[in-house]
Amino acid sequence: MPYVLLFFLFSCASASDESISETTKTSQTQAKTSSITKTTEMINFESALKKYMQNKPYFDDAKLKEESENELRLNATKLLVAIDTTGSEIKENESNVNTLIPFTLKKYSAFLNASKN
Amino acid sequence: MKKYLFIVFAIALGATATAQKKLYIYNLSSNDVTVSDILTKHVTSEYPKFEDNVSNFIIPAITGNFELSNSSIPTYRFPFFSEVDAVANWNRITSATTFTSLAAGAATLTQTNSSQAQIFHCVKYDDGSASGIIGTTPLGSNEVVLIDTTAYYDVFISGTLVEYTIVILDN
Repeated sequence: MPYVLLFFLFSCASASDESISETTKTSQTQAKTSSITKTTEMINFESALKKYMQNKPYFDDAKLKEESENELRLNATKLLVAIDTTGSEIKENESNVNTLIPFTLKKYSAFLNASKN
Repeated sequence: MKKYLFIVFAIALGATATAQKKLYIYNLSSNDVTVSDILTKHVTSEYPKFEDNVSNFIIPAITGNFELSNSSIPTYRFPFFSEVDAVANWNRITSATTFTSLAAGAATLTQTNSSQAQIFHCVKYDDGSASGIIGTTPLGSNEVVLIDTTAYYDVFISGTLVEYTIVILDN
């Protein structure tokens, strides 16, 4: 009977150790990621930017270039509106992708930093 | 015809070498990114080139950004002495075996005219799972796909402003 009791206590201790180590792993993962949850507009802009960058070497294809630029322009504009950029600033930058991308990245990055703080 | 093409090319090259330069790194990925080296190169020659001479630094996940810029220096100079994020020391590499360590201000002043201008070359970084070199040839490439993240490099020119831009995104 004492052996059964000892085995029970040992099992409890092992299970407890496992749960501690799981908690530690979880907190390490959480420490690596930020608490900011990206909105649909943020995710769509990043996706459009990725596609634009990937397609850029093939912009000899005028149709591909136009489609990529339009998708980027649409999603950059939606993001800028969502993060409270003024209409006049958007209008000033939206026509040229070479100004729209740096402008959106600066605004987006500043917004993320402000959200963190 | 060739003569005109050469003139157009020379003007374009001159504009790139003399326009105001800024370097941006945006880390929008979920991984902290460690930058180990920033390198520049001469616009036409192999030497001199510059490499940062500071400890590795971290650009935090999602919200992280890094900027080298200086609006008060002549536009042909690469902003080794930055008004935003500082890189205090640089190595001026003049051959495969020789280099001089310089403070950021002195490094900026070595570009005494546009023919000595430096341009962005590449950044060596690690996203916690793997490392890559993003930027231009010969050492870097404009798209680096790692296990967790992909980095993209592009240069955006608007008037006399040249923005070397790196964006790191989750896969």
